[in-house]
Amino acid sequence: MSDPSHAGAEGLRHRMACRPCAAFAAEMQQFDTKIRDAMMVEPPRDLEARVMLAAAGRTTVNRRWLAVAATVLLAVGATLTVLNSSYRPEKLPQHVVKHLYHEAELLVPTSTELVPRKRLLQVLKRTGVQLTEEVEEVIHAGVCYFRGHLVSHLVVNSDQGPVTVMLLPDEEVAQMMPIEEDGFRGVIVPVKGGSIAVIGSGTHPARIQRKFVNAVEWTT
Amino acid sequence: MSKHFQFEALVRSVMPELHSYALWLSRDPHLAEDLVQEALLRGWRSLHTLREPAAAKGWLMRIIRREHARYYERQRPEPMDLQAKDFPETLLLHRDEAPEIAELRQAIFDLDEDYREPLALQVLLGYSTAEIAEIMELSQGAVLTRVFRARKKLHKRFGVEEQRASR
Repeated sequence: MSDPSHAGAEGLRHRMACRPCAAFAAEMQQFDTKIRDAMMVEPPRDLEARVMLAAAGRTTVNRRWLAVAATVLLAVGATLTVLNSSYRPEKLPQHVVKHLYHEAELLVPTSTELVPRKRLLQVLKRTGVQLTEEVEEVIHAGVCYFRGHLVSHLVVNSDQGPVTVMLLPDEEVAQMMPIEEDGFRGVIVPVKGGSIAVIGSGTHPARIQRKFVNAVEWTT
Repeated sequence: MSKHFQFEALVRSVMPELHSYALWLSRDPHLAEDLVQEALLRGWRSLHTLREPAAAKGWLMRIIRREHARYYERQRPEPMDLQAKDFPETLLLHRDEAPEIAELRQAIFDLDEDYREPLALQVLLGYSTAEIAEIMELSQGAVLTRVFRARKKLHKRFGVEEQRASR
């Protein structure tokens, strides 16, 4: 298995129907989490300070180097233009689907236990969200890094299976964007300066979409 | 936001993953620190162009990768030196870490660079197979083979059932 988080929508649907495969995939994903934990090695405590100090010492630049730096910056600018172009709003649906694969274990939850309200509110607060009314059946609430920002990644139980809800205060979209990709169906809805992505692998989760659009308010 | 605060925020957001990537790339804690510092200082000079942290991380990662390659070009070490490295203390267990983490670090440390780097790019930095193929100038098939073999070696070492792991 070259990446346990990328089974494809077909593979994910199979897992939902096949307990042995779901268990095997869950085992692989758990092992992958351990690999990530092992690979994350805390940097030395003084490294950040050393970098900041060295940066402060480099504020005066020799004029001769300015010409060289200008050339380099031009190249960097061109590179970053290419890199930043991948963050265009029209690519948002693809990025949402890609993110789902990165968190694929959430599409086949092993438990339907509801997230305690306190935990849900903590996650939302951390990502600049508050609720003006209750939302129900949330079985996962986590904070994820998405397109350069921390966002709330929720999973809601529905009769069509688990539905992912991503609250995106930094992703303003002009109009509703449908998601029809790789077997996933959903929508990205504009909400006062940000947006909410609601996506599942069954029919379009309209009820959950309405619920969150009414309940969510950005605090940042 | 002043340039100083903007840079500090960037350093904080990218440091843990970039440091880990540099460490697994070089398997040398001191070299890893130098690579991260060099990359971030270039980031400081180009800060006005580094608006998106994720794009900045990709740009900084490429600097680390390039400087690492240059370092070995300059050093021209004996081939044996590339493999025969002592397991650094930095990778020993820290507080609050599960006991098996140290064993897993040793196993990752022992992987060939060809397997270790794509695994780090995928698991640590979250790149897709296509992105890793572009970064490492390989075909997607080669990347898939390498990350599959890397995982297979780790599964084998940790007793994950071979037949199931190879599905």
